[in-house]
Amino acid sequence: MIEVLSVNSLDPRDFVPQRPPFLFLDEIEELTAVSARGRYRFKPDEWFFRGHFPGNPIVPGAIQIETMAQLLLAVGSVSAREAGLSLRAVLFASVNQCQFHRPLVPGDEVLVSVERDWLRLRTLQARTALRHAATGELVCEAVLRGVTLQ
Amino acid sequence: MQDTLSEVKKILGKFAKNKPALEAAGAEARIREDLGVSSANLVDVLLQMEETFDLSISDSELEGLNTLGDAVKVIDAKKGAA
Repeated sequence: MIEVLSVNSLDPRDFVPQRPPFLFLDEIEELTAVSARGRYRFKPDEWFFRGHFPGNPIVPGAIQIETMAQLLLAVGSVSAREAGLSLRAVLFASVNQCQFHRPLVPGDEVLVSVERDWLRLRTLQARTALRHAATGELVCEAVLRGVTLQ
Repeated sequence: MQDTLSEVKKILGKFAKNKPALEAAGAEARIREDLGVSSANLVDVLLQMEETFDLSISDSELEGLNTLGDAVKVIDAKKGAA
């Protein structure tokens, strides 16, 4: 049976080590060993908008990947615990099949999703995506891997 | 044994950094140290072996594997038991 940690909002800081200004999850709405849903609003005063790009601020692709990776880490910690693995940390390991479908601008909110493919040899692989919260449009998708360190 | 060894070497071809060592490798070759397969890619090797030989190998069985010969032994034992 899959344990659903909560269907209410969870504080991401309880599950990932990143902190502002490098925490890109406002809340985690659902978290299990195999999937998660979260959301984040890119505030107009985010540090990276000043340089990316002056006069035309959009969210860097690397930050979009990081947003998905942070939720992956949360799933990784629950997955590892459920599999009975000792856990010191979950580290982001690889990005594959990444596609960006539309730009994000200051003020945009995204829904973040993670669906686990498998957990083998302490490695977690998952399909991850960002969707625009207001329109439901797919923004970015990728297959990410994380490694659980003992 | 020989057929399994060449299949395993074929799989490792995608992940081994030391191609000349892989080409010359026998059963005693160490997968990580001699052939240069990274720890991160071991999971890919595991998945490919399972698909190629149509069997499942547990994580603990793979963690104990060091050489090509170790891999061949596990695969042949499972094929024999099937």
